[in-house]
Amino acid sequence: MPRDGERPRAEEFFARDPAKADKAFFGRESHADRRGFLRGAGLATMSAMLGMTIPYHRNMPQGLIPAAFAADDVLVGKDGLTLLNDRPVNAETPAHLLDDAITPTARHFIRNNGIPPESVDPAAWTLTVDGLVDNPMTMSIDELKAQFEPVTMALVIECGGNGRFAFNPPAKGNQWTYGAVGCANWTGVRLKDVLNKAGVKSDVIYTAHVGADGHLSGDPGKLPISRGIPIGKALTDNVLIAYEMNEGPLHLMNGAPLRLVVPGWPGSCSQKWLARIYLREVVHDGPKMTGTAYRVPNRPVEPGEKVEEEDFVIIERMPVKSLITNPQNGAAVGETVEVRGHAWSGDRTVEILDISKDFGATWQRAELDAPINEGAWQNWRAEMSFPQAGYYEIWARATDSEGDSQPFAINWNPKGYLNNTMHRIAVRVG
Amino acid sequence: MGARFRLVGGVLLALALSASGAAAEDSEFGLLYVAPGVEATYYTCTACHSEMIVAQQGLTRAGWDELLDWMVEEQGMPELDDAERAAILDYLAAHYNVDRPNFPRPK
Repeated sequence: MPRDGERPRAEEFFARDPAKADKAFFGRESHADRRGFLRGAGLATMSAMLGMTIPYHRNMPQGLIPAAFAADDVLVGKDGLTLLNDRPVNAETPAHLLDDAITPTARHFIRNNGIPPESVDPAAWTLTVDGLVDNPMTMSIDELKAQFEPVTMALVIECGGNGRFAFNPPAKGNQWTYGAVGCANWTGVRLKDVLNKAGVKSDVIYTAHVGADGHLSGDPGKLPISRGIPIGKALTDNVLIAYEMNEGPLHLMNGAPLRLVVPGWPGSCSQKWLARIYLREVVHDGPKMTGTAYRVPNRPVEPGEKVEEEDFVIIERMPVKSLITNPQNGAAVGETVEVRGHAWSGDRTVEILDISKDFGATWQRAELDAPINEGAWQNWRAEMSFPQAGYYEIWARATDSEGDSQPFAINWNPKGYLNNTMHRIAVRVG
Repeated sequence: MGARFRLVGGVLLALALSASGAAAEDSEFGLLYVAPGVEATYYTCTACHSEMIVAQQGLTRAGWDELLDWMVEEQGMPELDDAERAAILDYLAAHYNVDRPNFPRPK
């Protein structure tokens, strides 16, 4: 009988080295043209699992896990994520599994709005840049790489609704706890360089992003999500069109083979399965740009208050926040423990990270690293000692370069965005 | 090579088996609390999305009513007849209200 313990092995294997996993699991090897093919035994194995032959098996890209398998296990290639929703797929990472300085691909959260495209072959993918530009362009990924300077940066992507679970009255949407955030190494080209080559017309104020994912209703005329950013943000140095994640391919659920990465702004700005960017002379009005999506009231409101739609404003930078990734919530620890984690603040840096063991009565300063590049989170650590055995809570509070700190209580808003309250974890000192 | 194949093939087969085995033990309505109205709610909602997102919510009856309007107006959901809509709203308001009796899992 199968044991549960065997499940993660296959997933980790595919996450670590898709080509090797392909070869081992299915006997599939790569051609020089980067496509794989199935040899007799491998083809038989995969076909047996699918229950039928695969007429176009020679066209299957290397490392591609058949969608039929993915339907049974939507978190293939991910390790330890909590599944919030399986259609569309939404999954977050428990805080203690975000301990790495750079988030491994297998531990990067997933927030899908629609159904990922069936075909994600990098060799066949194109990106179109048009709208209000002097020279509309359509490029393959190889052409992108050839025409623009490649850059690798560690960049924070956080879902605008991270922390929504704590809203009362509850707010609609996925009830993310802490883990809809990650800071992976992204390799790509600067959006700025691509837009400058296309030639930004003088009346442009906003970008508009289109992905290749499908709407949940199956209606081919509907986009699941199409967001944009002010042109000023688009022309900064750390907004990337990324084709590599942690020096490997993007994970299918993280937008393979091409996505935007707009660090420090709601994750929805970082369009996945990126197919088109067009420039506009108005604020983009695609799906989830309008109404109350990714918007908050223009003033503090009472919890539960009904807010008129015209009083909502688009979220731009994400607020100052931090996470405790060690120890794990609920852990048994000794008299001293290394407390560590990450801190970030959209478009700003974090200047101070304080931790408390006495419900906020006193605070201890942690050692805080500078970001390794603009848009990366900052790692921090401190040795914490406890006076006697018992139950303690460790709280973390970041303060950013504008003097903003994390609050204790939620600034409630109807759609449950921007919860940057202090992260609290419990420890039992033995 | 042959032996290694059987081994790794077995892991994947185990994967498929354990997934189907788990599904068989679960309720036919997934994560939703089983009570009158669950069937109409489950099949109406899962035409497009998983019931897992429904089960995370805590809304008043008026909040659910508004959400169904949005599904019809913006998300391509077919209109429901009055009786079916009332049955679904009654179910959701009873078991997925702001007091969240079934969050994160049915009691």
